[in-house]
Amino acid sequence: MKIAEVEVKENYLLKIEGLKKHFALSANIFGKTTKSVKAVDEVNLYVKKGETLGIVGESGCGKSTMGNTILRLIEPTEGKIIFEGRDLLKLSPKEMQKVRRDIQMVFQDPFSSLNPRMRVFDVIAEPLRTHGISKGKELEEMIYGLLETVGLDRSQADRFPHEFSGGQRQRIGIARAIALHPKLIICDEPVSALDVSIQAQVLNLLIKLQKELQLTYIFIGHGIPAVKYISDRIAVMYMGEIVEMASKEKLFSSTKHPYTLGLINAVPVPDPTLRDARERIIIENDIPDQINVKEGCRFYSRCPFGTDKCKTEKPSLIEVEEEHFVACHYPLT
Amino acid sequence: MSEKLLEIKGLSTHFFTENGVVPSVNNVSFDVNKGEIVCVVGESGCGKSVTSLSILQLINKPGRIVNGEILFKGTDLTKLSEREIRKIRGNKISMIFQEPLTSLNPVFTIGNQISETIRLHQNVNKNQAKMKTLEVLKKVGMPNPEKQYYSFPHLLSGGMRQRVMIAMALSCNPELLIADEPTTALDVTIQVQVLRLLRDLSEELQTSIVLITHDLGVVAEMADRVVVMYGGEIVEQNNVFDLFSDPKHPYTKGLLNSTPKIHQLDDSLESIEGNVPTPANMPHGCKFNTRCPFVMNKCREEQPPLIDADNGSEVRCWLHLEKEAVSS
Amino acid sequence: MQVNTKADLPLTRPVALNRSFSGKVKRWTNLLFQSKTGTAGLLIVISVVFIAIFADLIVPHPPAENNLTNMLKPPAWLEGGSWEFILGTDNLGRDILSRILIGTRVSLLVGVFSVVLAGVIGLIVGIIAGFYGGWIDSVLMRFVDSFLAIPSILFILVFLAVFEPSIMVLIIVIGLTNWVTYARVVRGEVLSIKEREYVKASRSIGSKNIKIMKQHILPNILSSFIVISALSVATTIILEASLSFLGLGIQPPDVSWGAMLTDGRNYLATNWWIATFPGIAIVITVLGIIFLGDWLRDVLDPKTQVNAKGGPK
Repeated sequence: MKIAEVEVKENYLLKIEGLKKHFALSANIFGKTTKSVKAVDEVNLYVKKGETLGIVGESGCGKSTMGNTILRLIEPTEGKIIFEGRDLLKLSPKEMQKVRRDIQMVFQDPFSSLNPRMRVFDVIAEPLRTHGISKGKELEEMIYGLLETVGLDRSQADRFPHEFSGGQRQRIGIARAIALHPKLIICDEPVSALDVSIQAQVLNLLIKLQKELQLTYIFIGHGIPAVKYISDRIAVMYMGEIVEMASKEKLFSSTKHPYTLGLINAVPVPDPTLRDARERIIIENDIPDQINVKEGCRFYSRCPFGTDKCKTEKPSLIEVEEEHFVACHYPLT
Repeated sequence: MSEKLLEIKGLSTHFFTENGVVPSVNNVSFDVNKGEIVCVVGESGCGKSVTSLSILQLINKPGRIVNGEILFKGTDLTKLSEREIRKIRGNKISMIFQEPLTSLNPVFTIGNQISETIRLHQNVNKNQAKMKTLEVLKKVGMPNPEKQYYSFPHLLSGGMRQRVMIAMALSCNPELLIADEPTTALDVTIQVQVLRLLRDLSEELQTSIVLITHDLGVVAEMADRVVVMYGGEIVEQNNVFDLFSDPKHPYTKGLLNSTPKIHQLDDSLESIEGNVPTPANMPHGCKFNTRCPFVMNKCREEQPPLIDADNGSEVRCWLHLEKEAVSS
Repeated sequence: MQVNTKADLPLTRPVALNRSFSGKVKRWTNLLFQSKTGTAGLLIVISVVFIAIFADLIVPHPPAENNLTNMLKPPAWLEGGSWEFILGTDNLGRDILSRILIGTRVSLLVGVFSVVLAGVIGLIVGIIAGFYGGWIDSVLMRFVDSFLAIPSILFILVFLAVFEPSIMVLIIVIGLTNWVTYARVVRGEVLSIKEREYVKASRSIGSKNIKIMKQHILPNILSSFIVISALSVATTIILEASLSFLGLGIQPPDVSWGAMLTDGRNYLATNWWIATFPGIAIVITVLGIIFLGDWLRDVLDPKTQVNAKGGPK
């Protein structure tokens, strides 16, 4: 079954159908786009309540653009984003404003995601004030509570962001994201910029909060190890498309797409004894030009198993086993 | 025993800022043998990059090497004049940096930049330099080197740019290559290509490599020996197999435990408490005492020395000294 | 080692920061004393403002009073000078010190208010163009470009030919020629700041555009805005002097430093003091404002810390 045919089920919090985002590079004199980058092309996925869906891919694969379109921070070109049964792309700005309470984001760069001229207190208060949740003494107590939830001290509320280390700033960003008790949090590479020992702290904090607050995460990352650690299910993106989506266990133990396998094999293993023992599929070359995308499978130019069919015919994302989707004419066994 | 190419002895590099002295690197000693890959691993601010810059005397004001010797084939690099060290840079010892785009001059073609380096250090004419450039571009796996010779850096992808950097670094057949986080800015599928290239080159040309990284995965793939740094000091030094199978310093253990393991399905991550200390709040005594789960009173009072442990390894921890005392 | 999710305390640097007003004042004064040029700038500006306000009360002689018996007297410390006219007198026997003191008013009024006018227009246009982008940006910036293409001195000459020169007219004409610079600088800053993740974060929270501009964009462009404003006050004082020097600025009996320079021009060889002292007044005031502006930039940046020794980082 093609993924586009999967019906919205009761336990789906979010379903994305045929999402596209094309950035125009040039246009003719009538304003018609002549050249564009297909940053996100026909993405279909679903997120179940209470789970973490990891989205992994290399830089430029469109994973962050996709994350941004969910909150309409970037307006998609076409597609449907169904959140709790409603298509977000059909909502008026006012209705969208309300939905933003339920979906929050945690950003990648802990140094640019906090306004350097606002104190931590005001940073975390911003969502609460914007939605008129509380003020005065009550607001203060809420913010101190949030700070303690993310492992900071209430005495730090008066400080400016630059006085904190990267990991602490990321905690502040998380406190801001959970302030409104959202249902879904989109984590856009939240640990990529952090030191190894701090990454683990932040990942563990996210897991703890998920349990306590019944959160659903979309965790976008380029580091497979971190995505693997936190996710229940993982979608692998390549050049604007999802090439494989499955539960973590299935994705790693019975990998179906050659790109996924190459990606997993490329990660250096922190065990020197496996250095030469591992059999590896190494993907050669670089990601091809994204502007003049050729027809056929997008991975063809780098795929060690490509055939003529792959060159001309584009595979669609198909369910090959229960909840294991892959976009490949010749899935690995 | 193999021949020692580089010996760093008691290197200390301090920065003299308006707000006081920042001791970025303190009493660091390690050797690099011929054909060996030594990884220096640590988190931001641990002094690993400053150490690598110190080797080539590339420390700018207000920084200064305050102590120590850097012996390259017996010559102390710290004692050389700027003119003498320039002859060694890019020739006998080359360096690769993290960000290949900013390391290349955008207004010259890559062929131009590499052949310039060759002509600077070798007595060859323009044509010979071009031949050598093409040869080295081929060696680093550059597809279609004749065409790429005339490309400008911004037209290349990150991975290709890093190949150009490596080609430039290798153009004069250096005996030592210092690579400062050479793959951090690259995607994993490209990283694996670059790492493999470095290893093959090291085996083929017997080039020694000092690889600076924060990624224990990269260390495990590449290193012969590992130097773990924390707070400007070496906390542990060992060969790569023993370091991963039997880490001695609590920091090394913590780092290993907080690195996700891609090859194991069921993984749990343990984190090291607290934050990486900045020079301004470096604790007294052992630098790791604020984050160490095994901290004792002694650790807060006195800085542990680097202790010789079994098989030529070294560790800077009181815990280990106690153990030694008990067992002997 | 156990799973730990708590960041350690205390923070990297124990800095006492206080939300209260007195805390702010304390930080400011601390930062002021750390910077010698800042202190000098502030002292100069305070005295210039003080002089401008109380000029009437402190002038030793009526500044417009002709006194032909005391014509062209040199400063007091030179031969033939007297302590009655400390900085000497001009060709009409008017006391130079008194004229400089009263001239402070015009220079400051024109300098400060034309910058305020230009700044407000430039800030609004720049923020709107930068924040909304698209066709709004294109239209506004093309307008700015065409404005920049007109030589400003020509614009001023035409304007002053139509309207009778007065302080008000000077302020308006200088303000109207200078706002384009602000608009360009502000737009550039906005373009870079609006891409920061905290702006995206605020939008994802559901903040309205006006609020994002007020809370996230404006505070972050303010420090560079203040610095160029301070520099601009300085150049405007010089511009006013030049206009008056050309005879297009302040008309007698009003006094400005520029007009005084004009008066002294013909006497430079024989009676140098007539033009020199107003010139020195301009230099000191302009330097003071520039120093103050630099210091303000540091103070407005929360990253600048009060440290035990040395100036702000």
